[in-house]
Amino acid sequence: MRIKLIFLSLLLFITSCFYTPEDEFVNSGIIEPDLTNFSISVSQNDDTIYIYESTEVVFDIFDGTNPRSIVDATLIFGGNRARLDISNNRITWDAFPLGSEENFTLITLEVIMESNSNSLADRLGSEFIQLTANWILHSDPAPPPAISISSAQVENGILTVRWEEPDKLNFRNYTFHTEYRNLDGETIRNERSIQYGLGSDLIFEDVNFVSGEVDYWVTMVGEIFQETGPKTTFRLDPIDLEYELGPDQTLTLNWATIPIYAHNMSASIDIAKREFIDVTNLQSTSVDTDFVIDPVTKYTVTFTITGLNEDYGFEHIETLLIEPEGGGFDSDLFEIIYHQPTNSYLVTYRDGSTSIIRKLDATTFELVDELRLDLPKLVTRLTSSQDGQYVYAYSQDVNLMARIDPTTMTLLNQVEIQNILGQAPTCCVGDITISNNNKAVIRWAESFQNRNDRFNIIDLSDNMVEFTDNDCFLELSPDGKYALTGSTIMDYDGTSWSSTLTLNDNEDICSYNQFTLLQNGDTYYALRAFSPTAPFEEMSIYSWTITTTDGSGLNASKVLPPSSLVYRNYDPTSGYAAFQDANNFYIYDFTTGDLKYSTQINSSGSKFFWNNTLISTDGTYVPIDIN
Amino acid sequence: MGILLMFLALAGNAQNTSFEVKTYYGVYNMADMQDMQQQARTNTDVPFRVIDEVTGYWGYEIALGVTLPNTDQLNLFAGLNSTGGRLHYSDFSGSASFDQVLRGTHLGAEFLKRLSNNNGFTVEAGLRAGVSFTRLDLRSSLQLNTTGSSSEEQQFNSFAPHLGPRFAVRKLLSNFYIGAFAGYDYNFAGKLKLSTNKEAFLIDRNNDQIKADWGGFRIGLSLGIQL
Repeated sequence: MRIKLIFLSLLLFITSCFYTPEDEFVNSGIIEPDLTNFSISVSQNDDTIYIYESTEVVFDIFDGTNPRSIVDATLIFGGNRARLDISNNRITWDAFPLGSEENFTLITLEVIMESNSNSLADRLGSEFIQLTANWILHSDPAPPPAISISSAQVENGILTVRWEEPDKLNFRNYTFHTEYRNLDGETIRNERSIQYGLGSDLIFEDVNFVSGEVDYWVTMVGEIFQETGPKTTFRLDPIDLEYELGPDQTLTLNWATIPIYAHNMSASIDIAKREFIDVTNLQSTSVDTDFVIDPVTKYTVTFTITGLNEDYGFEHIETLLIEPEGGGFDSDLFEIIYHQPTNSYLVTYRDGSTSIIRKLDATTFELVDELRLDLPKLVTRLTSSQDGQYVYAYSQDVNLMARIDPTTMTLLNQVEIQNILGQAPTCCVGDITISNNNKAVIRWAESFQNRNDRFNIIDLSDNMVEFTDNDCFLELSPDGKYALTGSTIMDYDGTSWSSTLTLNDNEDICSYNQFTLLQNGDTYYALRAFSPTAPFEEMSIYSWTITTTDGSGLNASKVLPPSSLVYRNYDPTSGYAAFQDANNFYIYDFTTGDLKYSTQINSSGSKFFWNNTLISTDGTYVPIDIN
Repeated sequence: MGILLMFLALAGNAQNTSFEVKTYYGVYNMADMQDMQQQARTNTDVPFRVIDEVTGYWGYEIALGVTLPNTDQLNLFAGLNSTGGRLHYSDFSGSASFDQVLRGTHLGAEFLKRLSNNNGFTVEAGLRAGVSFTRLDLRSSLQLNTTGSSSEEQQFNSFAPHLGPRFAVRKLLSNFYIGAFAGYDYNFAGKLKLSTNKEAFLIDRNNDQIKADWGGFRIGLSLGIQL
């Protein structure tokens, strides 16, 4: 019996000590979703949803600020289950008035979502949460009244339009209208649909408007009605643009404060299509230009403000005419040169899309002859060869250079200008000088953004680019045999240009105001006038003579004429050069450095010396004897 | 039956007979069971935590022995092993578990040769052989607050011979003795057949048989009485 008891106890002990799975893992970090974090946003944005007609009501479900996807939803309206469209976190219901009388009907929305608690049941797809919310649907037989613009004014540099909150808050469809009339009388209409309640739609910052007039109004648009509010007009007054001339005839432009400046606008100044200035600070009221006003020429200055949306063409353009006393040449976009052999002025005009070069008698300004060029765009540069045998007309828009006989006013030939890459210059062709052997120096820039000067020497006979340089100056001698670039005189060996003579100084060549290569027979003059501040304080003239046919043995010398002079022109007949300061006109012999002639000048303009004749840009010329 | 008859014959001529109770810790070669647990863990959306990995556990054994004339010992033994594994997860929304419960019953005989006997302290070494019957209970349960609970249980059985060496020491105290032993069992594990369908047996995803291998090292204590 005792042994049986021992066996039984032993068996019970052993059985109780078998492996039995009992321990558990409880994840206390998983917590039940908090329904207070959830919210339902209704498009009509109020506890009472106002409708006048069938209206789309949108419910958006959020968990905190995050959209929350919906599994299912039920909307009970007037005791019946309504049809809903469910997409992601959005429920859309087409509400409609119940009957024709004003009534208030309870709406109950139940939304079922996955819990996303990451719990076991959620992971196994069996845990959901349910939100329930109520609204009152107010069916109103009276339509909402029209909305008025409350203000249209410049606020902190931006044209800001505000309008009144709709009287019936839950009507949410209306259209914001703009109608622009720019300075050219062009009218542009634009409509902007607005859904009230989905954002801060009671304000509109008009980043397009920079010019003219604009009307604003709001139209409430429904399925069965439309209410248009009154128009409010805003007009931007012209910006008063004025100018001043400095003592050296440099142009300073002034204008009134630009009222609209805070959005992405740009402004630029165009001085007679010859100088372009970007106004980087729209709150500035003036700009000092380096542009020197010729006292015999009319200039048209345009100040353009461009808005953000250029597609609408919203530009504000102010125009200023700078006109010399007693008139001047009647063109706001022209080139004028004096042609000594015929004692005439050659002036370019525009006639529609045709360029006209008119030859005017330098004494009487009467029309002598004219040449109509078959160029689709205006001639922007008119240049004479240095001996006056030919005149060259250049049109940048089509990149064509026309060679003209100025005596007979006939077109000889046309060539298309290339840069070193064999392409048309991309931007901003400036000075063009042309030698007697049909070679041209053309100054241009890579782009409006990169205005670094680039120069090409081009043989206009075969349109070959012989030399390219991005230095500050490049000039050809009248015979085209030499070129002055920086501190170097180069010559052409029939294949390429190479350095022949170095002018010994270390000046910053980009600071020179004048840079000219002259010639008298076999003697050449390199003229560089340096002026840290106008008027010119130093002028250096180098001369050299060819003593051998291969160009070697150049003999350089230096001549310093009086200071404060502006170089005007060189007369190859006499070998004399003309200079001018604020009061007097001088003629120097380059060979000796002797002053040969001087005379007082008045305000009638610049003068030139040619073949014993003193010529003024006011049209007078006086024979003088300087020997 | 033949072994039992031979044992009874020997017992009749023996100098002493003894009854022994043993408990031991066995380290079992349950790699298949561990793989099965790992597969069960990874092939579900339930974020199971491993509570028990299928590894060693305590075992129990009784033995009836006879001391042969040359002082060697011959024992008949019967024992029970158990081990198992458990995956479990629970949170506010419910709980889930996956249990593997293994029971092994083994019978056999062992021969121990006395190596020394000084002052009642006996050292013995020998071999043992026998058969084992294994039962595997697979239980899974899922209880969710949202949908209620469900559970499932399947039972599998297998049969396997085993063989292994033993090393034992004993100290005689009057007609009782206490001892310790160590050894290793080689288990020739067989198929785990479904209890309700002998044609069905447990395989893994590679169609390899899943086996319960009780083989492995054992170390334990014994308490005996000279009858």
